[in-house]
Amino acid sequence: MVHALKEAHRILEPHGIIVDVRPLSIDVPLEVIYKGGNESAGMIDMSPGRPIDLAADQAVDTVIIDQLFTESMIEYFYFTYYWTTMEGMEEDIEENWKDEIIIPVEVGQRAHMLINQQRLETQIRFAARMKLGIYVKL
Amino acid sequence: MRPIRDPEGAELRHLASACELTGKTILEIGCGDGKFTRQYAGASKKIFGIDPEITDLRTAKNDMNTSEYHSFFIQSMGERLPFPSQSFNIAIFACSL
Repeated sequence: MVHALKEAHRILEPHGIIVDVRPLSIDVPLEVIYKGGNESAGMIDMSPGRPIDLAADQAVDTVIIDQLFTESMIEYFYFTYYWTTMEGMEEDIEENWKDEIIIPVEVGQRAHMLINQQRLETQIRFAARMKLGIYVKL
Repeated sequence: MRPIRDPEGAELRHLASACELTGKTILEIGCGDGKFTRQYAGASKKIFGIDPEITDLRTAKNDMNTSEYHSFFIQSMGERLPFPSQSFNIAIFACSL
């Protein structure tokens, strides 16, 4: 990661900027939404991704300490994912987020139960907490 | 099944408010299949997306009107960028750091 940041430093013009936008491994609720409301099925366990968060933060700290970049701004927002079926979500997580997200059994069961109530326009969603960092080349 | 991703447009909104993209030459490191690239392509002067996965790059290229947006997708790693020094205004790591 530090090597990539140093390469980015090389290809940027003076005062060029790096944008680092990524999800944070903070547990968030799995929600079932439907016309007129929403209910939480419980929290998604995002802990498997925490070592990656830490490594990325350490890489950014390193290039700041080395005076290659200075921090200009940090902000946070939520990035939502919606699926129309529980099976679709499980399939997608298995394929793309297997090593980063754990849906606890009881949360999955509750989500199934909430979806099966067959309310209008039912969808399942979670909103990942995102970090957006802007760093200026020194 | 692919999810509907960020229909609220939060990512683009935050990116656009955090830095000026208009007229800029941008490198997206780890662009994947170009989902995020396509969102800000219209604002920038020129975009280069790099990724080690050739299949994703093909999707990125096919799904983007590359001539309209002056966008280029290249197979490469972030640790060894195939570009001259001081050639970009902005480098974006979107979920790739």
